Amino acid sequence: MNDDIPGMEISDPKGRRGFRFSVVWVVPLAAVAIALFIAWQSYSSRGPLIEVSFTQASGLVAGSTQLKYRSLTVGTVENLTFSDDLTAVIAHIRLDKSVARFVDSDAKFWIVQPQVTARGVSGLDTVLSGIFIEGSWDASPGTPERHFTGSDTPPLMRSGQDGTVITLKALQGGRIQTGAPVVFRGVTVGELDEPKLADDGSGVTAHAFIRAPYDKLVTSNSRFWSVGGFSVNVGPTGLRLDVGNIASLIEGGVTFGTVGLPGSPVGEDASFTVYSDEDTARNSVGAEERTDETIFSIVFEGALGGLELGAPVEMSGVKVGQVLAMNNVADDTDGTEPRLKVEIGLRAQPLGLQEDADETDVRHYIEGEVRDGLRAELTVESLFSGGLKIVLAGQSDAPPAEMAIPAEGYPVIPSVPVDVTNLNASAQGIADRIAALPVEDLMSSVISLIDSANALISSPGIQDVPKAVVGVLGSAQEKVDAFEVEPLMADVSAAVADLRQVISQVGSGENLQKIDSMLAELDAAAAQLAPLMESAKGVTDTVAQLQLQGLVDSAQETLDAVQAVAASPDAQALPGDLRAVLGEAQALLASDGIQSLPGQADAAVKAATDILAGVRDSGAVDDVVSALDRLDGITASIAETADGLPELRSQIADVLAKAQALALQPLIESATTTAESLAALAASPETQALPGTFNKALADASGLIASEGVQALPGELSATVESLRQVIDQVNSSDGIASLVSALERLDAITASIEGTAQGLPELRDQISDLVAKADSLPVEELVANADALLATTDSFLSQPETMALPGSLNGTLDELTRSLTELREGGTVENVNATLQSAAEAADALSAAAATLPELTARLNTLVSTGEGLLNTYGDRSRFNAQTLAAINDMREAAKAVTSLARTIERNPSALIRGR
Amino acid sequence: MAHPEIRLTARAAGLVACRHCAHVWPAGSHSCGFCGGHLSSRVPQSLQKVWAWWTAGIIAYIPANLFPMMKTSMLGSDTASTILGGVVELLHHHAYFVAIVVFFASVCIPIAKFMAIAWIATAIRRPRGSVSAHQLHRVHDVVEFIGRWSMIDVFVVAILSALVQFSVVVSIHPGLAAISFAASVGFTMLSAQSLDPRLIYDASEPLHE
Repeated sequence: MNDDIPGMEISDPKGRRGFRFSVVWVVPLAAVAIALFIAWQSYSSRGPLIEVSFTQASGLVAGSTQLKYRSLTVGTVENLTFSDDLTAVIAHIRLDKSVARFVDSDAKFWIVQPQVTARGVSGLDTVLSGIFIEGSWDASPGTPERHFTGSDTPPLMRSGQDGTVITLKALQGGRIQTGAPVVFRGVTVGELDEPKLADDGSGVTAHAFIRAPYDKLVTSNSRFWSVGGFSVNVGPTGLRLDVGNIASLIEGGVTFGTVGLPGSPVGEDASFTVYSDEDTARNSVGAEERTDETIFSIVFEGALGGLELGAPVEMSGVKVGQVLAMNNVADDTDGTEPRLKVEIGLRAQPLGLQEDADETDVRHYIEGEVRDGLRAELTVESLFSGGLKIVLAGQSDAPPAEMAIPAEGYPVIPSVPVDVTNLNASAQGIADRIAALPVEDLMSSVISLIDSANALISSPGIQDVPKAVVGVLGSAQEKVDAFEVEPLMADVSAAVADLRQVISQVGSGENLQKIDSMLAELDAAAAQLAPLMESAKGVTDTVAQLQLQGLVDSAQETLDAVQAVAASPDAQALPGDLRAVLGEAQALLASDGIQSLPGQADAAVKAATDILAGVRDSGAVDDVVSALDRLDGITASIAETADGLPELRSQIADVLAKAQALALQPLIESATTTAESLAALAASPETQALPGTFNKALADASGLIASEGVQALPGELSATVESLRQVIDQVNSSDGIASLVSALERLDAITASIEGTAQGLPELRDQISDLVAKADSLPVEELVANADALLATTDSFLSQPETMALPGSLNGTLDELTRSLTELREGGTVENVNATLQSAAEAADALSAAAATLPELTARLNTLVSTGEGLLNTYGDRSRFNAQTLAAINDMREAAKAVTSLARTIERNPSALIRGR
Repeated sequence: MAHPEIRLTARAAGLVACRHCAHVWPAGSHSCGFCGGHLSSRVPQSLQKVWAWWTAGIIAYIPANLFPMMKTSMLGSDTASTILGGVVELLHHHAYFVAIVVFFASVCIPIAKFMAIAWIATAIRRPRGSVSAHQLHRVHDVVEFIGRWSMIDVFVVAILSALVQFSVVVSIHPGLAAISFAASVGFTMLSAQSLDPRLIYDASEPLHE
């Protein structure tokens, strides 16, 4: 055992002499080495960490969202944090080392999301894989940048796309929208970036990217205008409806063309104005930007109307600027002469200066020209318009002058005093031209035109036009009724939906404004036609008299009108007529009256009948008859009274005889007085005149009824149905019949009261008889006294002013009646009726004139409708667009079905996935 | 236990056993006369090997926890989960049992093994005090037994990777952590095996008395 101990020594833990490291230590060392190597390798191979800030972290996932460049993954989002002020989300992206050196300050980052626009679908690959960040940078390494601002939308110019970015300016942003196409001859050559308001709010600017090689097409002479996709044009050539492609219909867009010579290519910072339409764009000479204009002032001596804002400033016949502002100069230097201060803006390019010339260059140039005799001059803009323009022209005889540069305001270009003779000279030229014009022929043709117009209007065919219109409308209504409305409504509603989109895209309603202003202009043109006749007439007068000033004015007017006529009277008249006709046609269409014309006529006739019936029913005739009857009664009772008179007389005679013995003198006197009063009453001219007056009244009434105006009523009524209605209304509302009736009623009342009075006469006589009888039997003295008293009473009754006035007032009443009847005939109502009928006839004439243009209008409307129909057909039921859309939807449905069935299969039979079946 | 008779070891008896054929030879012989194997009374540099493998295991254990164990790509979106991340995810899905099992097998057991081995290896060097040799043996047995079971994570990843391969729809790939975790477990097993258990009672035997 002990000899084993040395052997034990070997492995004794305390024995250190044989200590050596175990080979196994290589393993941890190797592990550490490998770990270090891997760490070093991954550290050295990994790229820099960049920070890209986004407004929204929509869909970004730390650790998995990838950064792609040309669809190749070049980085991963490692972390997402907020910015210090929480205003942005910062994505910390680990870049691939291979691209790190290219990511410099020009790099752009944006989030790619699926997008569905009118132009197509993009970013579909992100639906499955989730969104990713796309980067874009150029191929030249630059100073590495580590902080970027990303955008949520793709940038205008992506990597791998060559082209030019230009700046577009517009007054309204409506037609400039993000992503809207830039179209050249119908081909999309670029697109627009997000529009931004200018700093001063004066407009909208947007960058546009024009793809190579089309960017060569954009030159310094290019003009941009917005395409609405949809434009309506009414002009001498008719109605024009342009419809662009769908994308521009929905999103708007701009297009461009080259004006005049091909200009020089433009660089990156080129800037263009977007005009509202092609004509405006093509008519613009140079970029009309306020910033490009150098402003000068001109002071003209003497006020002259006709200069307007925007009036051209010309130099050698080229428009070099425009009038920006005008105001009077309130200063005391020059007595009473009014002074007009005009601010004009001049542009460098049309002046002949370099395009990049700035204000100083322009000022120096103008200053030099002024030294050489350049003066501003007010002249007539054109022979045919009263407008004035400013001409900058060298005046050889001008006194030397310098361009004044005031401390405040703008440099002042000296002006030539407004030369009236100069203007007159040109007016003389105008007059000469007018003299040379075939005015006589014009007048004769105008007259013949009017004649033929008259003939046309008075032709019976025109009378039938309303009926024909009603018939047309009726048949149109039948057609409309016969038309299957429901599919049409579906189509229409779809179209309306489309149109609504379009309209919402139209946004600011520029087109509408255009149409509006166009119509306003057309209106003005039509208005110019109105003074044509007067002007033409005035021309002959003034030419005959040859008064120069008047000649100038009327020549001016005439030439306006003649120009309008000479251009094409029909064409000029057309819009006005069209508008009026449209309005009237609209009114016609809108009014139920047209539909019910015959009904109205019927109603009118019925109303007339009613009036007549009312006249009949109101008892006017009866009243007259009864009045006559009563008169008869009066006469009868008077006769009866007269019959009873002898008896009375005899009784009285008896009484008198009896009384003769008495002191009868006062009685006799009283009786005599009474008789005299009665006689006077009967013999009074008023009473005498009573029947005559009444006769006259009746004659007047008859005359009224027989008067030509009333006789003509039915004829006129039949001529204009609408006016008939008005006439009837007026007649209805007028007091004529009513007052006639009431007069007759009053007459009736009067005769009734007279009758009452007359009826009272026999009674009186009886009473008198009784009295006389009583008197006969009574003591005479008493009788005499009674009789005396009675006669005195009778006398006093008869001699009462009221009784005396009775015939007078009756007379007056009848006079009044006569007067009102005469008035009715001569003065007001019939005249009014006639005037009304006249104006109604005029209205009918206007209607006729309108009707004359109806066929043309119908043709236009047909064109419009067919164009609209074409447009609607484009979106219609069987259109290609619809079919394609349906096919696309069907395809999508099929795809969805396929996906659904796949999902069901997997759901039902997951092992199929593994087995691959 | 304090009896020297009972404490008689092969070495104390002057014998050395062949580790291959278990034939006993007198101490001092260098090769087994029976099978020709190298003879040594104790495994040479046993503790060094233990520590070396242990260190390697620890080193491999670090990436096993830091890097993703399994990468799942489903319809184009990739998900990578580490061991602890997976446990947390399972907890969020209320799969508590599986979470506990995974946590136990992949976190608790490896760490316990490291601690146990380190404890045994240090306790061997110290005179027997509070810890009895029996306890150390027991711990060593447990460590050796349990070592192979902590590969459960790796097995799961390996099976899933082999089975779930459906191209774009869904596919699972093992991550770096799977390899390093397997290596770590292997190293720990080697570390536990490298420990010569006889050192335990060598240490408990006061040699100089």
